[in-house]
Amino acid sequence: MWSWDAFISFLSNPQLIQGAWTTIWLTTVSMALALPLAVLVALGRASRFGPVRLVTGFYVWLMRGTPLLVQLVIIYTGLPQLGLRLGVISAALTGLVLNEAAYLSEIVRAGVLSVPRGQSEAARALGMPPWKVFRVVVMPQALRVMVPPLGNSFNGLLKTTTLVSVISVEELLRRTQFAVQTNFRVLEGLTAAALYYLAMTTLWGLVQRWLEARVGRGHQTGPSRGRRSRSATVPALELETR
Amino acid sequence: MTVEKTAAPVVVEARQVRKSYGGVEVLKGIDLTVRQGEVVLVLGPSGGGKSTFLRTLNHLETPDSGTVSICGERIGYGDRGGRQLALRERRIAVQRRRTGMVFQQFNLFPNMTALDNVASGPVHVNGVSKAEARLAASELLAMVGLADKTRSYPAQLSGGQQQRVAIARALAMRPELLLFDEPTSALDPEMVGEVLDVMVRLREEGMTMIVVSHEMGFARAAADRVVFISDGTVVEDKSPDLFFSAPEHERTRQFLDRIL
Amino acid sequence: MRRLLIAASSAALLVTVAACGSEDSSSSPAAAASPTGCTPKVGKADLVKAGTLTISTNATLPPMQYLDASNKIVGMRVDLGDEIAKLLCLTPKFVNIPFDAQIPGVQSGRWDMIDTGMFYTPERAKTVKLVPYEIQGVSVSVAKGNPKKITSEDDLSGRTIAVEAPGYEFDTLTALNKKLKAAGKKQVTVRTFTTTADAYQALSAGQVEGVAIVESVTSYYQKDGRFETAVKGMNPAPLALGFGKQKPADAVADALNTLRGSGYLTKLFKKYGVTAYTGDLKVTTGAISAK
Repeated sequence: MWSWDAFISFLSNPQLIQGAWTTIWLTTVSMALALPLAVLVALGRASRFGPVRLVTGFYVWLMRGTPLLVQLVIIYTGLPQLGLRLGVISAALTGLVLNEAAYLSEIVRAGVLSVPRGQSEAARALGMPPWKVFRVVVMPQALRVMVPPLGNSFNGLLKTTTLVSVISVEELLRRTQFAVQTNFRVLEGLTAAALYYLAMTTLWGLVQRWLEARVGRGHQTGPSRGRRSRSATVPALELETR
Repeated sequence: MTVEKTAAPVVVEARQVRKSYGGVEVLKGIDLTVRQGEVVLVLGPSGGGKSTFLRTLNHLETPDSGTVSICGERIGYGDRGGRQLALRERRIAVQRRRTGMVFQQFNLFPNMTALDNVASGPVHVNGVSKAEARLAASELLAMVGLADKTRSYPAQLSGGQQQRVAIARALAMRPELLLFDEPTSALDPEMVGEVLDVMVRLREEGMTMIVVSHEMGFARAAADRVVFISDGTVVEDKSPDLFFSAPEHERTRQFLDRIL
Repeated sequence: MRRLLIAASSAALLVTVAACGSEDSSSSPAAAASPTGCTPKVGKADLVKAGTLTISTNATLPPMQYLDASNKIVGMRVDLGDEIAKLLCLTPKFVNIPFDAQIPGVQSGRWDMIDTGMFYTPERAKTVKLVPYEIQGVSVSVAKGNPKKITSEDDLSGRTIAVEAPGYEFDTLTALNKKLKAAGKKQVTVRTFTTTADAYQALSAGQVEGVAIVESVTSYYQKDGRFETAVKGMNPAPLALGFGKQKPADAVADALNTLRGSGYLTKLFKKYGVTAYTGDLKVTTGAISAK
């Protein structure tokens, strides 16, 4: 029997609100740290130095080839055996960042590859040094292609954070389990939690659309009257978060 | 060796430039000397090496052997204690400041307005303030006839307009030499004229230019020399009149027959 | 050493297996012979499967309920469950499942009886039928040598203690924190893990300073040699069997009374070092004493 009272009380339960907040900041901080790391790794994989390519290639292979769950447990419980003991949040963030950056680096690579060679040639012909070519010309254009898949990753990360409950971080799911223990209304409790996740991912979807519009500036065709044209931005915009 | 007709300083000195791609020799020892104020048109069949050679002049292509000097400075290599060592990209970037390049595909930066495109060199290479650079840029855009398009993005401009912005962008760096790599080949015929007009004006203002192009009209009207490169070598190097009326080699004649 | 490994491996198993909650993930103890020549004391209508007593347990707590080397569920709860089933002329079938899924499961008819050392609380007694039969207190395991010199409840102040996700031990520490707060002392930092085995792993990695769990488990780990029991007998309370339906609850309560009368319970509890509940062995509600 479904109880609307129980459901409503779960929705406003401070446990769930706190858990949702933990999920949000875990995701945001991990993403904020993983993205610059991903750019470095992507650059490393295209480096002309063999050892750099080797190390970054190995890192991506390892992180994408093993489950995040295993990585988290190793970092939290296994590394202390070697003398490296990270606190709970540090361990959770380390695991999330290292894992996510490996996947993001592939997105960055694809984005950079998508920029036509002529662009960097024109920048170099002007006399721009390599890092300026990257920062001023290549990266802004790569970003336009990268934003949809990056947004997708953020969406996925919001939900993947549930895994950190295994190393005792109290995110939304774990907190929901607490709340349910008091009256065992499992269906209402988990539905409330699901609604919270949905709210978070939907909110992110809106942010993503705004981002896509911002990096797509200049790509709309037609009279330049400063009119913001939705239809001119990348078609992938309509590919909403899953 | 060409006979020196004027006493103008040498801007480009290329000697025995060779380049191979995957076992195929594309440049088989090119020599070229260009003096200040000269406008040189480089002609030749596709795959003959003319674009490749042009790009060795600003080191977008690295020659396998031979030397390229701009205003006396050897491009791509530096003197280290008497030895010539390959320079890092950072240093080569500095050397490129003397040379401007206009590409067949325009290669304007799509995320910047025309104004910012033209200002991009001074701002990001010379450290000029954005305001100052934009001021100079708007003047340049006015000079190429695009004063009203400063706030437009490349996607909103026609091909001819984009190429003119590209020329303004190259000019903003005040180069000693301008390289044109088939500047009108990607344009619809009705837009070719507006670009050639700008190029003619530049010539009148004394700019040293090397132009790879098929535009015979430009050759006759504005070029001081025509250099014919075929099969990786310089086959002819003479004034346009002589080139078109009395080509020395059979290959040249065949080429002219085909395109004229 | 080997037992700790088993407990650890069962934790890993649980992480993957428990997520599916597959009921056929474990084998019933072979010792239970299918009853012949007797009539089941509980009818088809009140059972998940006719002739079978389906029992849920969280097999991560040696020596009460855990997986042995051959992946069989063993322990005191299994022994008790087998005996009860024998008396009821039913075949026992154990299902290995994390605790927080067990109460909803018994309410929705996925299993007949919860036999997992569930603490009796008046709130729980309102949602499932509880038959208390055992008494345990919450103890705290620490690393061998007790480096932080924890000897009493109050010594836990300011320490980081691990527990299995929401449960009685968590509630016990929460209540302790209220007391500490009133006395102006630092709180206990509580870390929740999916299983007790995960909690012990964190302890052995030095990530937490202690694990709070029922005494029978801490004594077991103390015997193992790597941990020792620092605090005993906090918040003692009765443990109960849980049921969704009245008939099986009553039938099992009768069986328990028989086992008490025959001295089996006393022997069993002595073997595993737990205390017997001295009140009536029946479906109970409301507050009861931990005696």
